[in-house]
Amino acid sequence: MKVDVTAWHGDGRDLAARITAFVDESLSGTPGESFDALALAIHRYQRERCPVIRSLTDGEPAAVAELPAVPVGLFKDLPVGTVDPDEAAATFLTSGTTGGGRGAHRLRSTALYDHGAVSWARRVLPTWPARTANLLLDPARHPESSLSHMVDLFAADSSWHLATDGLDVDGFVAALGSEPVFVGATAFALAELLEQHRPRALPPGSTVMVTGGFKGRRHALDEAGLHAAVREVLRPAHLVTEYGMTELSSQLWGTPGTAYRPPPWLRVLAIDPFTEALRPPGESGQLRLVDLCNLDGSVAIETMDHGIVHADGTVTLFGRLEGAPARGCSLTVEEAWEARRRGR
Amino acid sequence: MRWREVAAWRDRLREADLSGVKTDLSPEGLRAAVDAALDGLDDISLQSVGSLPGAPYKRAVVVTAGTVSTAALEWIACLLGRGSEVIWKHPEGKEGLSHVVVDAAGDLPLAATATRDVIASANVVIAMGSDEAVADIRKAAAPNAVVHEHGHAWSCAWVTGRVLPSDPRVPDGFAGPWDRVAADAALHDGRGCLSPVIVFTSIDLSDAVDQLGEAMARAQERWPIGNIHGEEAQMIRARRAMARVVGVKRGGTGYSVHGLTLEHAVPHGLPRSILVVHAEDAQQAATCAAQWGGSLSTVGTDDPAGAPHWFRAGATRICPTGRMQRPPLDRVHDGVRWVMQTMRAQGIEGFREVGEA
Repeated sequence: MKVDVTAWHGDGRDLAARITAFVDESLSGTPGESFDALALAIHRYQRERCPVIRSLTDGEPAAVAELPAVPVGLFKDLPVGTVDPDEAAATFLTSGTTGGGRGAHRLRSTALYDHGAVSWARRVLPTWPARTANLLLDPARHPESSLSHMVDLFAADSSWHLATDGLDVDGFVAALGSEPVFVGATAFALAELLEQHRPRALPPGSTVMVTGGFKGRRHALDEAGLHAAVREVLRPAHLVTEYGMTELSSQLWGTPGTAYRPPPWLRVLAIDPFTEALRPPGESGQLRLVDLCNLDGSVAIETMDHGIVHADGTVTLFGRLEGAPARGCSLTVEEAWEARRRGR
Repeated sequence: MRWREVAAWRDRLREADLSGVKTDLSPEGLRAAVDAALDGLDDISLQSVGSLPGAPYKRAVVVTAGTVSTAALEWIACLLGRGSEVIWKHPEGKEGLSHVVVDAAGDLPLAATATRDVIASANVVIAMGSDEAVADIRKAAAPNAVVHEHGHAWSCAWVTGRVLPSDPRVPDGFAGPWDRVAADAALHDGRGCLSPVIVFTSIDLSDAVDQLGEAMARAQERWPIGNIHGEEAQMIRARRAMARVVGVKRGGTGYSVHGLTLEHAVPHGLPRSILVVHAEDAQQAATCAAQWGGSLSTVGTDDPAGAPHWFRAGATRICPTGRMQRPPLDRVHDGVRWVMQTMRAQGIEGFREVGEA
């Protein structure tokens, strides 16, 4: 696929071209340059243009593991990236479910994002969808949703059945039709659908994509229960899981019970949350993601999620450590934002 | 009334061996937390509470959700002293201090359990924990039971650098303006609802961060920090990154101090990790705190003249720094005189009017 990199200028255009080539060549198994060299070059470009990244940098990183990873929480408070608001072709916003406002990921162009997302999804999805019916926000009305933007890339024939005030169940059921359909949905929306409505089974050959957790919301179903309910009620031919973040430009895909698989242009590192030391393969740690397609944001970000990075680069995800018991009677940051939201 | 037995129980607890207690606190930190709680149960305070008119509940259950378990001690003391049978319901697998406390109780009717069923048997339930935990406890209580809820809260300090008079409740060697704050922040490793999580100050931010950092280092020498958990460590590191970009930071073994601006001030209880924010005056600081005013508990300060601003912001208790976590027994807590919740109030009325008629 031809990728238009003209939105970038100078070093940015060179890097966009190198990233595009890396994506294409790595999928064919023969990348022309090393992941590390390209990641370090992207970091240098971002460091020159982004005060936040510059402030977090100690010296000259010599390896991917030394890249300053911007904590995702900083996106809510500070401008992270190389694109000013008036230069942005797209601005994806975080959901804000953990409070404290919404973080912004500004893109000079979605060309790299789109190329990476489609290239990897084509590689890992069991079948490429001809049409989609989604329990997601309509990207035409919510261009700030990176998730909807990604799914919208998959098929020209798509319908959207989630609004800010709830699910459009009747519309969703009507859109299912009789031909195979790809259903993109958040875990929360799927749980709502299955617990409250019990829709009919999907047409044979259909695929369900589940993404996200129940962050900031309570639900009767846990992850395994949700997957079982999806299989029992919707009866998809394929059930796939997706892990992405607004602050990223690439996604990891998997199936229930298996590790997530990142694309060759996304490397996941597990670190010790106390010392930041790199954890060896097979040991759990806090996850850092180095995403070469994140040219306009930060090439390295630090999540609040924990997981195991296996020797083959796949990731078993544990999610946030939010299930940990209260350590005391002082307010947590989530409780603080919830209290402010409620005016308490 | 069993106040004399309660005083004896308190004295036995002072001597109790705490080495077998599983807690996130260091041995020195645990001893300091227990001593601070027992200091509030002095004879005069117990007598004072005992003189309040009221009848005991037959059976009381005190439910603690977290690991800051000394909060239960004053409840248990007052309920036992009044004459209630008391059951301490602790989380499954987290006995904390409870067995030491029960062992020291002798013949006093005090038991500890992780069994949730006991909640339904209580006439009064003291529920401590998150909003969700407290809501679950309320559901488990009998329909006619009285449930007193004490959810998570936060506290802060307002420091101008004034030297306060000596105070026997302030730990020896921690009388200076920043030492007092550090002593408050060190107790319970800063995880308690009376721990200052934000220090507002009129002093230059860099100077304040430096001075508090030095005091936190001294507190670490006296009361070493206990265990920190992974999710706490990553939150501290994220805030340190923020301070590195838009503020100032200082850290050492067992503590961290992050200086940020008012717009970035969010209360979050993290172990031995304090957020310092510059404000021009108490009014500006209190206006910032008022965003979370409904959950604001205590303000420790060296500037009592600012109290009206803090009360307007939502604070329910204002005290000198250095004694934020060493409060007197008969105090306002979470906006109520909590000792009144340990008894059924009694009153007599109407006879004079009847006689005069």
